[in-house]
Amino acid sequence: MNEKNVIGRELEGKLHQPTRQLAMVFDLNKCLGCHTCAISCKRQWTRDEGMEQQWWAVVNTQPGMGTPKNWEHLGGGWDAKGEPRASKIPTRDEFGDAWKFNKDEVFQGGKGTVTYLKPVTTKGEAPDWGPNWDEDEGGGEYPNSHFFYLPRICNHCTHPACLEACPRGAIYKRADDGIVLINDKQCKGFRFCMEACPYKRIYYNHVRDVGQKCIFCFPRVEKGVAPACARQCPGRLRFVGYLDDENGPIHKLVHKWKVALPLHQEYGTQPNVYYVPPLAPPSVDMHGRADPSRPRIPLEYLEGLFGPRVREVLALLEAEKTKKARGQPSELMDLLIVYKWPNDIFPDFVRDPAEL
Amino acid sequence: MLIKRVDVDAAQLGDPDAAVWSAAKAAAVSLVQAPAAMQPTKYIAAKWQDKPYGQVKALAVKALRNAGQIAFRLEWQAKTKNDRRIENTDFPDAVAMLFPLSEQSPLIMGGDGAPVSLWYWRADHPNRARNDVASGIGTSQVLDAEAVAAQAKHEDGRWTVVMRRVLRSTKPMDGIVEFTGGQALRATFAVWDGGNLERAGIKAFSPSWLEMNLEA
Amino acid sequence: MAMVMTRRAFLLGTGGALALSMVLLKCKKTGVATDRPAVPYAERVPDVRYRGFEDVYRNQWQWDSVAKGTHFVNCWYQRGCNWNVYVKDGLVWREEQSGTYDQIDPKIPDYNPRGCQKGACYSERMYDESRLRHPLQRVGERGAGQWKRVSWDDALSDIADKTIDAMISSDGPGSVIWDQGTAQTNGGAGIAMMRTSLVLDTPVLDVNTEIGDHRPGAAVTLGKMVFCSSSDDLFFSDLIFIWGGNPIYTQIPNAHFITEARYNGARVITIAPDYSASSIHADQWVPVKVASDAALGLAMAHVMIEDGIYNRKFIQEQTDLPLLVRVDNGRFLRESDLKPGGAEDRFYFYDQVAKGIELAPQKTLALDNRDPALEGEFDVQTTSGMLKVTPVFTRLRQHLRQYAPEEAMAVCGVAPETIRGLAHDLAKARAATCITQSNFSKFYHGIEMERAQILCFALAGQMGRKGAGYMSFPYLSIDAVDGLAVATGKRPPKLALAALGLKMAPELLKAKFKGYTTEMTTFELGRQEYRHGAFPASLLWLYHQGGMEDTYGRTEKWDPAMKRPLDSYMKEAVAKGWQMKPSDRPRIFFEAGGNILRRFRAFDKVADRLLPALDLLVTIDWRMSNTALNSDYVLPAAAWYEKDDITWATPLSPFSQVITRAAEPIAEAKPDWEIHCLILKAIQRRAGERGIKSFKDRHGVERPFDVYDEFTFGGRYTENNVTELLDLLLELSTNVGDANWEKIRKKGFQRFTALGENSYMNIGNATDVKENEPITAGLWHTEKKMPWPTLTRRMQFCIDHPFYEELGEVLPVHKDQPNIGGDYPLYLTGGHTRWSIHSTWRDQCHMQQLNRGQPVIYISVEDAAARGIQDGDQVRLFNDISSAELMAKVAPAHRPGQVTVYHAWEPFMAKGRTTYTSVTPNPINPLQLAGGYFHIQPRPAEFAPGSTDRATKVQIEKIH
Repeated sequence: MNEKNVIGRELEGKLHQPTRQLAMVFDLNKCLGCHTCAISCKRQWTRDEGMEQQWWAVVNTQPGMGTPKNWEHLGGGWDAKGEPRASKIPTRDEFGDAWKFNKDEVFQGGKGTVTYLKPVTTKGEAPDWGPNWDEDEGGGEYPNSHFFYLPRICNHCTHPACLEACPRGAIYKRADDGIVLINDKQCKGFRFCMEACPYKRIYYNHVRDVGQKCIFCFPRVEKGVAPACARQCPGRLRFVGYLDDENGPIHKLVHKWKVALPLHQEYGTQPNVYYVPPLAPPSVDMHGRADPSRPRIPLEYLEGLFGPRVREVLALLEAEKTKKARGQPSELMDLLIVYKWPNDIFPDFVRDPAEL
Repeated sequence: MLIKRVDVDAAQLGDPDAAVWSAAKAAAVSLVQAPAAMQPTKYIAAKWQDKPYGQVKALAVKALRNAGQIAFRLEWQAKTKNDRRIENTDFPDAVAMLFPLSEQSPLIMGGDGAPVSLWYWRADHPNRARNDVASGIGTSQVLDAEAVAAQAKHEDGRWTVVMRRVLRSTKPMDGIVEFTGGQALRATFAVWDGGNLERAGIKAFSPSWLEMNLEA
Repeated sequence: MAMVMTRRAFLLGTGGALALSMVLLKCKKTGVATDRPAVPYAERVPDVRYRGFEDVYRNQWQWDSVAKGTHFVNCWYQRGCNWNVYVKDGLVWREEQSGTYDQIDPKIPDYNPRGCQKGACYSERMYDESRLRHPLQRVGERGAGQWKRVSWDDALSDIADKTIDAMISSDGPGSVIWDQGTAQTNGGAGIAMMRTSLVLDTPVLDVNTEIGDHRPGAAVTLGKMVFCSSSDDLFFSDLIFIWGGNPIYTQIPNAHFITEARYNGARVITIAPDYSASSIHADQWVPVKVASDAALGLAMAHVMIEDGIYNRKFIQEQTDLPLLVRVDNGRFLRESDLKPGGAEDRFYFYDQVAKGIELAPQKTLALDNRDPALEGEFDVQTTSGMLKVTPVFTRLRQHLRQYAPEEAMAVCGVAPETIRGLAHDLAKARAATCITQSNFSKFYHGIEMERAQILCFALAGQMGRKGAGYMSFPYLSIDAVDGLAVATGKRPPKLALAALGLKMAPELLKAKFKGYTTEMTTFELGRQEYRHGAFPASLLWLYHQGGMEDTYGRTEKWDPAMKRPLDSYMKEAVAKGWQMKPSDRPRIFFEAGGNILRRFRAFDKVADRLLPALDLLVTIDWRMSNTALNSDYVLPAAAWYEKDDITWATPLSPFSQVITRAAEPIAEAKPDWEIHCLILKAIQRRAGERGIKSFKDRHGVERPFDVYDEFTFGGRYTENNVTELLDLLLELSTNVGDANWEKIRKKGFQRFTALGENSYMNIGNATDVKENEPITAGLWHTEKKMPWPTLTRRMQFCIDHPFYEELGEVLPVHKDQPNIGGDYPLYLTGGHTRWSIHSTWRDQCHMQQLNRGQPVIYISVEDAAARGIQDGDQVRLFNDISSAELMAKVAPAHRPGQVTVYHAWEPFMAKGRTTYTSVTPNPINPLQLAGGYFHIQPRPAEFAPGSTDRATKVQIEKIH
């Protein structure tokens, strides 16, 4: 029997278990770090006043501090016992503010060449952080530097900490597709969701005094059009579909081939975005002598993100790749290649929005 | 407490420094911390169970009416003034009055079929208060109702806020409170210390009704 | 759910006053509004009732119309993306890739959804504060941003008057210079530029060599810089080198072919000094010292030869390696050596079948039954006695001994076994390709880097096969533009083209008689055009007329190997007619789509010297570039979604793309074609009003001032009907099938149906374009045995040109990077960023926010620590030339000893308005002044000196 909380909302009842769950798989071996996802989302949804600093889709260089800064160490989600982990609200500066530039002054100001374009934060300060501030820095020591790109959106979790933290019941999970939405008419801007979300993918709109986040492009999805970040991704790494569709790429990658892994599963929210973990060239000495026995990206680091199955998945990817190199067939490689777009990458969402 | 009728204009009635207020008698409303266990979600309860909040102990409440308007003057101790909402972690100080809309309305945010009307003032919008209606925790809705004017000052570590409205709304609707001379009314109060990140149920509130009579 | 207390539990669990207070008070008659029923509340459980709010989002995703579009700007390697442009309330709302490229073969990934983050926010960019909305006249100091808004009429009249003044003065039309920059098209805007210069006889700067995109090493080896396969050809490769490029930054829409080829079994090897973004998806990353790639390549070549793993058949047939050279002087054995009056361009090999030397066939690469020797020494009777000769291969083999891996390691830093591994991988690959971009060509000794690379690929026989090749400069566009740009305006275009054909016929016949391939003939016509002076190379112009001889021309200051000063080479090259010397004093400068005051290396020095000499600097642009900011007039162009045009294209994305007028130009902006029409109209009108009938062109011919009539083909194609011109272009082009403007406007693109041999540039790809196959460059050479357009008609590794001899570069060599800029410890490298195409998006707010919002310099952890520099510190970058301030970005991925500033920060984004470009003296390499050697002669876009800014020596220090 499902227990209700004090305001009568069921916490883990049927209401939160949609009949179907939409999910994405991001193949990190195809991610270019180009942020076309971030921009396509920005241009589609977060351009109004109050949303300037919102990036519902971000791409982080890993290892790195991420967006918001240090998000992996801020808490949130659920602990091993299923109890909520305390957290904090990431600040505007930690997310990276939307800087303002003095273009009018430089272009029209007549002040002479002493002026130049300068970013300032809302607080009028020179920025020292941004949503992609530590791009391409990564970790390790040259020549064994390492980094990879980690695109992130709201995980539309099965056990969403945001939803369950909201005192207003403003967050809900749609029954037909499991998309988690903040009803910003019901939201009062209390920001408990921003704390509780362990992935820190919720932004605060200062103008409208509400929390806002990725909506999985539900208006597009409802019309059979893939989300903007996925449809506009030139790296062709964002697979979209229903988890239970056995013929679809999501089910095949997550459940059949088991190469797509959740990010920080230990956060307990059961995220619905999965990642094909990154391969990397082997370690080298200063003169480029490769040592394939030493992975460039420390395995522990990858396990810290994607769990204990990383090693096995990377080995499988290498093995299937080798098959292809030998001219043998590989369903897995063919899946990841995406011969025909959009059919192979989001078969249920192939409609061209311009044709609607 | 008797809400006296005075012969001043609306501007004076709404001005926390107006002389007319010094003559009015204050009711000392004591406040308590809204218990962590009572918070509507596990997250909030867990986060706040060991943290101090709702530490404002008392609220001085005065109320007056003139021919057409009623005003409440609320004063409480607030060492810091928190009126910005620039950072994500900025929560402005706030105060609210709750009026029952039915005889059965529970004093915490109303209940099923027993709604309450809320006048909610927050320091980032010092000149107006919001008109909400609620029938339980987490259910409040903002109404597009008759404006509740406000005027506030923060001085010597204290907030003084006057909220004022016409007695009978010119824009009647469900969910708002109406005032008629000679009637009894009651209210409870809540105060949020924004500097302590207080919002929603993280607050101090008055656990009993303040009973008032509106002079005819 | 133990922790969750129900309200009941709470009530039971608390006592005292609180609990008591919760008891519902028995109500007296209170003042509550009980006369109305309580608000009927919707259910608390969200799911259903909340759905109403979703309409807010649904309603946001709406638009009034959709049109096709793309972006003019020179993204080059990644250009050519088809976008849907969504319009709402008369303004462009957003854009999204169309994703409508057909799959050409189910076994090969398709091109969808082609586009990148920059294209995805042009709709923001076009309306931001940089956008030019009205004609502006400068009223303050240059660059100060003090403007007066003026009418189009006033601006055009004044510009026309000053232009006429210059043209009829003793300085002549040569004093009016145009720069077409990188934001040009191969349609209306591009033709407008070309025809403007045609009818006014005013020169257009040859930008391509200046920006170092001329691929000089490829050009001297292949006889051409244009040579590139389509991106999907990568899917056939089983070995992909990323060497001399950073495609993950600069080929965003092509990059999936790399990652997908990898999943298809290809091995990806990235060779770069830093662990670049293009290293992360590689199977092997080879850290190489900055500017040492030639040594690495030559070491690989050495291994292939010594280990006998080269492709003998391929080099016998396709390269000059079997050709005989004289042992006494290292020059080719020419027919003229053997026979009095013999040809200077006929060469010999030793045929092992016939056991004798034989003239190498000139009109074909086919060897039939010949078996040219690669090794040995042979005696030849020449007109001056017996001579010893040997194949180039033999000399090369000896020459390469100095690059034995053990030796090369000291230079390039790569271990011998790694070098051997690379050589063997390349030799044994089924199909290996090399992603190289216009990077090495910007190094002082970049020629040698490219030569060494191509040598490796030639030795391995990895050229001109599906999946095998070397990415030189990519170009493939509609091919009617070249002709229409120069056709007389006295006749209707088709007749004019026919006349042009007739005029050229004798030249063509002559070329045919000489046995030239179409490619060679086309290039020869290009050389003539260049000699005519239409396209002076910018660096030569800046050297001779821009006051830059003391930086660009002081090469001897940096290059210790030079035995005589650059000026001496320059004088010789000019005297021998190898290079042009622009001689007209510049007075009027039109910037049309470029940004010289960002682009010119040491632009600030150019500004100091050139600008005071000008009567007028006019910029036509849609945004405030640094050049615009420093101009006398700024003419607002329509944005790329506000006009109709056809863009440049490349085989990497083999589609001709269009932009269409999705929305009307804002404010007073006008399409480029229209602006050119109006400028010429104003010149014709003002000349008439002033009673000036004619001007003397640069060749002394008196020409009437009917320039608008001439430009518009007698009023046939004017400011009012550009789409008819575009329709004509498509009709006349031979490589877009039956496309017409109406069809292509709706679809947004047309895949090329043929190479389009009427284009001077297209033809270098030397291959057929087939409907259902990727494009593989060079098949005409490898399959049809068509000669390469070089002196020897083969891929040529031995260049027996006097400058090459003098500088010790007859065979490919490694030369150490000179201390350009002074004796400083760090190499300043660069490259295109992912965040902008040149400066076009550099100050776009989103791109900035996803960057650091200001110029940054990448520094290794080690170099930063040694200087007490922390990430985010402001640092001063300096050398003998200049200095600039930037923010430090300290990255473990960066190689110690190397600092990098990615491309195209606008000077107005930097304190003091100096940037990384200010510290690059950009000395001309004398080798690039060579000429008079069949294929090594300047022609548009090639064989003129290029920039050498990469690996400038610098120091950095923390600013306290």
